[in-house]
Parts: sequence; structure tokens; C-alpha cells
Amino acid sequence: MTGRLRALAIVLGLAALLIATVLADAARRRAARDAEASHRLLVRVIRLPDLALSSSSRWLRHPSQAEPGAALADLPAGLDVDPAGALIGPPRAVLEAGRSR
Amino acid sequence: MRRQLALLDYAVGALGRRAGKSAALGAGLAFVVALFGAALLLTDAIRAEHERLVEEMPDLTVQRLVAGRPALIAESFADELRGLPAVRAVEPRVWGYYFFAALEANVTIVGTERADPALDAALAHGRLPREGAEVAIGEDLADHLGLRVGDAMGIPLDGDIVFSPVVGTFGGGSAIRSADLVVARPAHARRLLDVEEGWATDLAVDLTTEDEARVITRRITERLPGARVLERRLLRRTYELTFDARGGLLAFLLVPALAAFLLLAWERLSGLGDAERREIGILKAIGWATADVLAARVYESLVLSLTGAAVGIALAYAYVFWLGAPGLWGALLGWSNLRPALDLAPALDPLQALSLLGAVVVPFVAVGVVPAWRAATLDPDRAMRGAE
Amino acid sequence: MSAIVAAGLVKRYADGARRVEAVAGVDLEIAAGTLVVLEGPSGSGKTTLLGLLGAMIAPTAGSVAILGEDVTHLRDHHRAALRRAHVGFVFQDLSLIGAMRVLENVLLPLVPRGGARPDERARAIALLERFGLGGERDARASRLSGGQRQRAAIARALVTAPEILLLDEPTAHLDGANAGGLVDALCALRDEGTTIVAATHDARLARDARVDRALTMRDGALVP
Repeated sequence: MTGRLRALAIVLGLAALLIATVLADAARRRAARDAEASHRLLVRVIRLPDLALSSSSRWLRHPSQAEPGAALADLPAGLDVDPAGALIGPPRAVLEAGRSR
Repeated sequence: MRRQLALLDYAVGALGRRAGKSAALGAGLAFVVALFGAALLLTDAIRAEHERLVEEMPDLTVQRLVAGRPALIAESFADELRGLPAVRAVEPRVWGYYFFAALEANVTIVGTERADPALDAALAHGRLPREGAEVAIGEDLADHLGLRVGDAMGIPLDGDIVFSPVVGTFGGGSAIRSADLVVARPAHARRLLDVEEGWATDLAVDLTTEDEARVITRRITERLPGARVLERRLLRRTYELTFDARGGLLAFLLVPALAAFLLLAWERLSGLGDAERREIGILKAIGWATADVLAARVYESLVLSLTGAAVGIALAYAYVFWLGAPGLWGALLGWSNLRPALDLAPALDPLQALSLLGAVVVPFVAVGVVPAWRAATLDPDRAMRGAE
Repeated sequence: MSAIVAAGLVKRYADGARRVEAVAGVDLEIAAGTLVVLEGPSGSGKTTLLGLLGAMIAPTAGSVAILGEDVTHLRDHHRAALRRAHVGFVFQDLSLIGAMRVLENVLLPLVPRGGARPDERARAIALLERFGLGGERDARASRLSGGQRQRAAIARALVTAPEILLLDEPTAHLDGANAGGLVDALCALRDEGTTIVAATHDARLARDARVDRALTMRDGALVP
């Protein structure tokens, strides 16, 4: 094995180690999350599924519960005021369910 | 095998000879992957977090729409639903938003009868409200208002201020859901949200079996025109779809990333400089077959893109989960005044990491091979003379 | 036995809209173990003919046989394999890879065979020493002088121990003394059994008494 190939093996090994570290950390965090009881209990109390990502736009706080067209209720076809609205859209599946009625 | 190793050795040597260019290419690739990966890791984590606890949700949530807006639903309708087969329990819920002028933020007020001491473990400090005006609030909200367990929270209402003793705070692992929560007894929640007795925000319906959800949904909408029924099955998919529906932020991040990647690709496609073309001509002339030249080239791209992509993924991961995605997380929270820290479990698993690597490496290698193939299939002396 | 037999060789290039006939009908037979010099002015098609004889370029028409094997219609990888096994090539522009070390350059033809075995490596070093480059083997090729590069290129062409050695303008970068030394080296190789074809516009080489056969080329054809 030449020195170059040895260097390559080291570099690729380090890259693999990097990915392995990341994956191990991810698995550890997931396990810690699952072991964390308070979260599940909280959801059991409030029975609302959404994340508290927005305290500025009401429809962004519980997108899964928001009414169809919530984002555009006040200004149809308007741009979202809140940048988070660019990421969290109105719930389409739920929206579909609402439309059929 | 020996031949492949020798070609690999040559490829590494070639990368080393163009160290500056290789490093720039690798770093550029890592940066693009990190940018793209960060958005991907974050949205995936949010999705996973949402889906993780969906099973705790009611099978059906019944809302009523009036003029296209959610309106209050009569509690008496709950009794009607209880008569349906497969319905195990119906709970009229009182919850909603309250705009806290002092914070310029909406808080979520949730009324609940649940006060089982076993559930007190949901709180970081204290207990759930058991009587009267007691409230348990999110830690972020408490911090903003300067409140601790035992203090009274002043809530402006109709020109008056209602004082609610804070008996508990939510926090720690659940901050991402509880940051803006005010949990109260139903009667107190009614008062704060101005929901009259006999009415509810929505009805939470639990079924004996989820399979019946669709049938029951139809029965409900027959009985209550204007009802909107959210099935848990759909909730499970909500985030998946919401992120697909827009993803404006993702697209915004993607544009520079894509531009950078295209730039890299272009560099690879057209960047077979005279020196590289000449080198291929030399190799062909001294007896390398086209396949040998291409194999060396593939190894070159493979080593470069594998390393670059691995570093990029690690950078993205570190940025999102170790540093808390400064910037990106802020953009996601928008103008919110209550800003829970990013505390999400990564959804990244080996399969996803592998497909992410593949998504980077495969096009990169392909893009690098094309011009080499063009040069290598020329007559060697023409490649050497730089003639096309 | 003939090392190379060419019949009716034609090679056309498209140069923009114009079509250039670099080699226009060459019949040639080169006996094994001879030193042949191909003389002619620049642009007379020497380099192209050399490329055709070495199976480096596919002819537009005509045929080439190397060591009795017809290479005219061979596919690319077969031609490459044949070149690798039997033909050494030394280029006019001294095609060494400048950023690589001299020894690495010399070992380059061995890479697709799986890299240099110890005996091949020893042979390469011996070749470098034979051409007076023993001390330069770890220098970058770009630091060599013209004459040194010329000799390194010949060493590289010989590292696979080919039966046929093709050289394009071997004396272009050499002064008189060096050129004489080169002819000595080529003659020595010829005496060891290697068939050598050198294309040149250098009359010194063409007129050298030790050359077995001198051919003259004009406008893509051999002058009788």
C-alpha cells in the first residue's frame, strides 16, 4: 500500500467516523427524547399536537387545527406577513377533509 | 483489485497535484450540502417530532365552521355523538388563543379537567391546576412575565385584570410544545376566552377502533352540517403535507445552494482545462484504455464528493442540533416573541444519511465523468493537442 | 518478419469546414529490429503517420498490422491493450506530467496493469540510470531540462519493454552533443532487438550512418 492510499484510507475513515458520530448522536438524542416522559404527558393533558413555533400568527400555532384557508382569511392571495408562514403552509390534508363537506 | 487500487492511487495523486482546486471543490460541495442538509434535517426533525406523539391525539376532532371560520360548537352535540356506535368517549374542549398585549404575543389557553397527580410529571415544576383560577404555564412564557410557581399571573380582561395563581410550569423536554401554554380548569379557560357555558371550541372524540373513523366522520357530518372533522389519520400526515405545500423557506435556502451546486457542476463539466485534457491524452497515448481513464476520474470524483458530502452532513448536523440552527431557527419562528429553543430529536438515520450521500455523490461523479469521457474517446494525439 | 505493415493508409481531419488530408495513402513495411527515420518538413504528416503506425489513431482508410495483428478495426480498449503491451511512444511535446515526479511519470504506463511490481520498478530505475537521470528520479518532471525530459520520456516508453518504439522529433530539444548521445542510445536499443521509428525534420538524424532506413515524407505521402 502506498503512502497516498494510506492517506486516502485515513481521510475516508475520518469521513466515515464523522458520519458515524453524527448518526450515533442522532440515535442517542432520539432515545433520550423517547425516554422523556414529560413531553408525552403534556400532550396527554392538552391533546393538541402542534409545536409552539409561532406566537405571532394564530394559524401557525396549530396548523393541524386551523380552518381551511386560515392563512389567507383576512387577505386572500396576500403574502404571508410572518416569515414562518413560508415554511408552514395551511394543512392540505386537513384542508381536503374540510372541502369535501 | 490490484488494478483498481493502482488507479485509485493515481486518482488520489491527481487530486493532490491539483490540491488547491480539489480543496476548493470539496469545500464548496461541503458548504452546499451543509446548507441544503440543515434545512432538510430541521424540517425532518419537526415532522418527526409532530408524528411522534400523534397517537396521543383524539381519533376525531369535530369543529364547526360558520361562514368559513371556526365557530363554537354546542356541547349538547357531544351527547348526540355519544349515541353513535364505536364512539368510546366525547370530550368538549375549551381552548383558544389569547393575545397578550404586553408581550405582543398569542398564548394558547387550554382548559382541561385532567388533574390526575400521575400527569403532574408533565410539568417541570409544580402541578396541574386543580381548582378555581389556578394555571400552569409554559416556562418561556413564565420567563417573559417574570413569574415563578407561587406567583400570580395578571391577565387583562375586559378592562380588568384577572389574577391567576401559577401552580406549575411546563418546560424542559416539552418546551417546544409548551412555550406559550396556559393550562387552566375549563371554567377558568371559558372566562379567559369568553366561551359561554354550553359551548366548546371543539369536540374530542375517541373511538373503540380507529378503523371506524371514516364511517363515523360521515355520520357526524350528516348530523351536523358545517362540521369539520379532523381524523387522526390525517393529522399524522399533516406536517408531511404542510411542508410540501409551501416550503418557501426551503426553496429560499435552496436557491443559493442550487446555484452553488450548478456552479460546481458547471466547473466540472466545462472545467476540463487544457492541462487535464492533455493529461488524458498522455495517458491514452501510453496505453491507458478509455475505461482506465474514466475509472481514475470516477475515483477522483468519488473521493472528493464522499469526503465533501460527509463533512457537509456533519456540518449541517452540528449547525442544527449542536448550535441550535442560529438564523434558520429564527426565520422559522418568524416574528414570534416567545421563542422556544430548538430542542428536537434528529430524524437522521443511517438510511437517510446514505440517501443524502448518494444524492450528492452520484450526480457529482456523473458530471465529472462526462467531459473526461469526451476527452478520453478522442484520438489521444488530438486530446493532447487540445483539438476538439 | 515485419514489425509494422501499413497499406493504403489515409487519415483526414476536419479543420473547421476544410478537410485536411494529413496522411494520403501510405504503404509501408518496417522490418523488426531496424532503426527507421521518417524525415520531412513540419506539417508533412509525420506525426499522424507515427500515430497510425502505433495504433494510437484510427485510420480513415487503409490498414495497419502490428507484429502480425491487424489493428485497423480493433476497438478502443483492445488498441490500448496492444499499445500497452507492444508499443512505446515518445512525443514531440515531451508529454510528461509536469507536476508528477520523474519516476512516477516513468511508471505511469504500468498503472492500468495494477501498478509497478518490484521488478518493474527496478527496471524503471535502471532505465533512468541508463539515460543519466538516476539523480533526478524524485524531481518534479517540470524541473527537468529539455534534454532530460526527452530522455525521461524515452525511459517511460521503454518501461513496459515494448518491441516497438516510436519517437516524434526526438532531437528537437537537444543540442548537437546530446543529439549524438541520443542516436547512440537508440542504436543500442535497436541492437537489443527493438524496432524503432523516429520522425524528424532534423537532417543530422536522417543522415546518420547507423540508421537502417531513411524515409522522406511530403504532403502526407512518402517520397520514393
